[in-house]
Amino acid sequence: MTVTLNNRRDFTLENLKRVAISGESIRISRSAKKSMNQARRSFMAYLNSDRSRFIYGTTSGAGQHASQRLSPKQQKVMAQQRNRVAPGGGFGPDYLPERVVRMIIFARLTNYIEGHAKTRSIESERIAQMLDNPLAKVPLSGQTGAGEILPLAHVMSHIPRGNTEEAEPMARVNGSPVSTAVLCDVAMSTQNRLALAYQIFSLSIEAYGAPLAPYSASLLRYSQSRYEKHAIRSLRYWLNKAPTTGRLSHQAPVSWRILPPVLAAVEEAYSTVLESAEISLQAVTDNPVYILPTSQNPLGRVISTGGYHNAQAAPAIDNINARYADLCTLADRHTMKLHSAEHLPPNLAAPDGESYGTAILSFLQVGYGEEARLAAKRSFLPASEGGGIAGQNDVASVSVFAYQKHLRSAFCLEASLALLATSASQALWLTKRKPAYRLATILEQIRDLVPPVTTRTNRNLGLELNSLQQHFETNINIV
Amino acid sequence: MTILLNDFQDLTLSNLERIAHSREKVRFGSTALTRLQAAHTEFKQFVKDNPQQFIYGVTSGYGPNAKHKISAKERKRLENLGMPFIGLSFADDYLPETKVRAMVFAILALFLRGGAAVNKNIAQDLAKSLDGDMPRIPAGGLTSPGEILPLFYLMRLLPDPSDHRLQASTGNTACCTVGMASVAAIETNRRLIVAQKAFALSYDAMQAPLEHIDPALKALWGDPFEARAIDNLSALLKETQNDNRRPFQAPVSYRILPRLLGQALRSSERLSVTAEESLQSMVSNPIFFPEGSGSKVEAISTGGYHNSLLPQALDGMAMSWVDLAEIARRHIIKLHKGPISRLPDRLVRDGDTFRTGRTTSYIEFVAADFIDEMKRWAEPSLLSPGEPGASEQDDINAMGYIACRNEARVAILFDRVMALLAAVSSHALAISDRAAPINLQNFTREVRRDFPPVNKKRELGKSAEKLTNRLSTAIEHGDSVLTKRIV
Repeated sequence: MTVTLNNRRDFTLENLKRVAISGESIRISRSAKKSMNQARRSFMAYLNSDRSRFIYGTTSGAGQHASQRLSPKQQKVMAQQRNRVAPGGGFGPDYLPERVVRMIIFARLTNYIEGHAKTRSIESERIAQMLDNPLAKVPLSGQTGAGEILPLAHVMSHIPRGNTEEAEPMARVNGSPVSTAVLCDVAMSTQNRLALAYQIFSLSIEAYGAPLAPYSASLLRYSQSRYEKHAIRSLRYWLNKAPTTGRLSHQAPVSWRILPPVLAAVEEAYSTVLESAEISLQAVTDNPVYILPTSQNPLGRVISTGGYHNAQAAPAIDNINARYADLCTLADRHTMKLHSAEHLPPNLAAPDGESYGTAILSFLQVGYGEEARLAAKRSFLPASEGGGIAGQNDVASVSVFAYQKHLRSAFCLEASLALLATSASQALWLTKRKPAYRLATILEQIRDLVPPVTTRTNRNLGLELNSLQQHFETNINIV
Repeated sequence: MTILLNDFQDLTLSNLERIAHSREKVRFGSTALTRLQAAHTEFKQFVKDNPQQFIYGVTSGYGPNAKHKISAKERKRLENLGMPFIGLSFADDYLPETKVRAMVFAILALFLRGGAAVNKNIAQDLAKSLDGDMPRIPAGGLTSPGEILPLFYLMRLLPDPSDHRLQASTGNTACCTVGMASVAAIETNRRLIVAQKAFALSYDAMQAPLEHIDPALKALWGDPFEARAIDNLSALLKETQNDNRRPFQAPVSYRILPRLLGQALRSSERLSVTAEESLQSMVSNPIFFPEGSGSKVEAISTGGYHNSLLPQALDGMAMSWVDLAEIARRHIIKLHKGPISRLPDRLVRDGDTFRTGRTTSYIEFVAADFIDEMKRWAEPSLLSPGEPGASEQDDINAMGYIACRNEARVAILFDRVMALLAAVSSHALAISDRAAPINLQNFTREVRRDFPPVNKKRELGKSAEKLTNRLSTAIEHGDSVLTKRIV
């Protein structure tokens, strides 16, 4: 299958998913090519009407050379000479997931599709073709600079060979498609990770025998917050027809009762990242950007902008990281309480097993929580003006930095949920109880990978838990 | 004027401000009083009819004693003992009275919807308490599971226990977070107005090309908040001279301004919406749903004392203040760098030298300290992994107070950076003999009252301090040309 792009409205999460996750190719439609070539012609007429006019990177130098004007001859020569993007300089042990590199390539085309990149349509086809070739490996480290030139250099260095003309080299590496891609990846994976969190925390509610009152439909009708409503509704979905007998006769600890407000904050963070992803996908962020011809400006016009700086991405991703850390904290507390509750077997130990049972799960939570809290540190705009030579590129974009932390944060949450899931499974097994029927499938998956524990002798619990975390991760990233 | 509370739609930020800040009176209207009394009566009957049902603090003990059932007789005995704690917190300062009044308003919001099932006299008495002075609450040591620590002080406003005391809750709710965050939301809107004016002044001082805020970008970027930022900056720069501006693009820190201001506007709106929704959704533990509430009649235990949405909104705002301050620092430095700004180097008048002190040069150093501190306060207020108490029940702290405290500190430091930006921009315009654009002239005049262009050596720190105080006061009171709406 191939995704056909006609205009900016085709830049949807659905199409992005087809390209990035399902591995589909992209076809640029005939009408889109016509629009681009038409825009290119009017741009060239605009350029030729006054080649002394400032057009960043076309009639002027780039970066610290922005104040230098180029002669028409120099303009042509520079465009021709820059027909290859030099590979990026960042390096490090870890790389952007391949799906994210595909997302960057998809998002790269937004500027082009309606002609705002002021290039010939062949440029857009070259970019689309990159999806069918071996992809660039983009290091996660060393990508924090002004705009997104640093990561884009890695990606665009793989563009198929071909000549370039005025304005085309700059369009390849300007704009903010990397922010768009990481926003989209965080949005899509958070949706699935949040769905998993609802299941595991519902399982924990069942395992503890916590009263169902804090998730009452009365609160659903009472709240004015759609996020709280969503959180309560989701918990109620998984707890539907949960046994009402045999539960704790008094209220559960705070960490169970505050699940709706804590999950509501995750819902809000998710809603924000999703909204930003959708806005960014359809945003034209080139610098300089070509404003298409109007009756007032029949040749169109070119303006310098700050489009290459997506100011929504890092705060939105940071919020998700913070909420993941909070969920780790709740999972830690639940794991601890499941192992120390008066109404459950001490240490969740089997009667014929070792007395310390699965208490190690509670020990393990601490480290993942601490790591998650470290990953939740803010991605402020850096104080350093590194690269801001001659005063131009004086503020760096931190989207990839926020995303780098997100990958760690996501792993920690999955690990923490794996520990809680195992604890809940153990508690239900020991007390011979079944959870609400919708939780049966997840419980089965948990027990397939980490069977209930009688003795840890001859079992490598670490490997089993790791396989459960990986099972969660796989389902989150491929669905 | 006296504000009447009848319906939850009366629970607005605007009414909160009138009560908390303008010290207007508030009373429950007759519709509300009838509803409150009916809920209270119904609740008493509910408890009588369901003596075995767990209702936290009514048929059970509190905190660690939640698992112990108590009889009606025991309940009365405990009620007569009153609140066991008079106050546990301490700090080097007290919360501003405005914020304490806002907390009380948040408790009234809880009462209004009937879920607390309080006697109408108690509700009206609490409303009347706002006619007088508020208890002094230490501005520290207030974080706990739920918000019981500040409540120990607020409960002093309620009358002595009596037979009509039976109720679901007198305030076991997130009143501290909601009250304080609501005040922050109101001030945030004004602070952002001041910030946009200061940035617009800097933009003009730099003579940054207007194409960076071209209205065509609104449709290209597709973000409503960035569009609003472009509109606001365009309005503030209305009729500014279009000739002789920089012939090439301004530094990144100027070009990305509409995108960063857009993010701040998004954060601000989120805070306001969340604060108002929280006011209108105050939940206590326990909460009673009476007949006619749209739900089945029940009294349930909840985590209603824990508001997670407002800390997130406040954290987001704090992050925007830091990022804007970082941009402001760049502007302040760039304005002093002649080769970049094309203004006189170090903002020294032609023929003069910075050694005469007739310049703002070196004041660019000052912002770094403030921003460094801002970054430390603006880290997210995550749930604490530590178990806060000796009770198995109360195992997670509510982070609302910490988020409010941190954002407030970041905001005050931000005002200092804005004062520096406005003062330097004003000085830059003065030494290049340019007037501020028409919509910034009143703002510039106000700035110059405390921080005039530097024509002779003086202690500039004093001027900056006075200007900061003027900005902060205008933001708190909202009745100044500094905070006058932009469009």
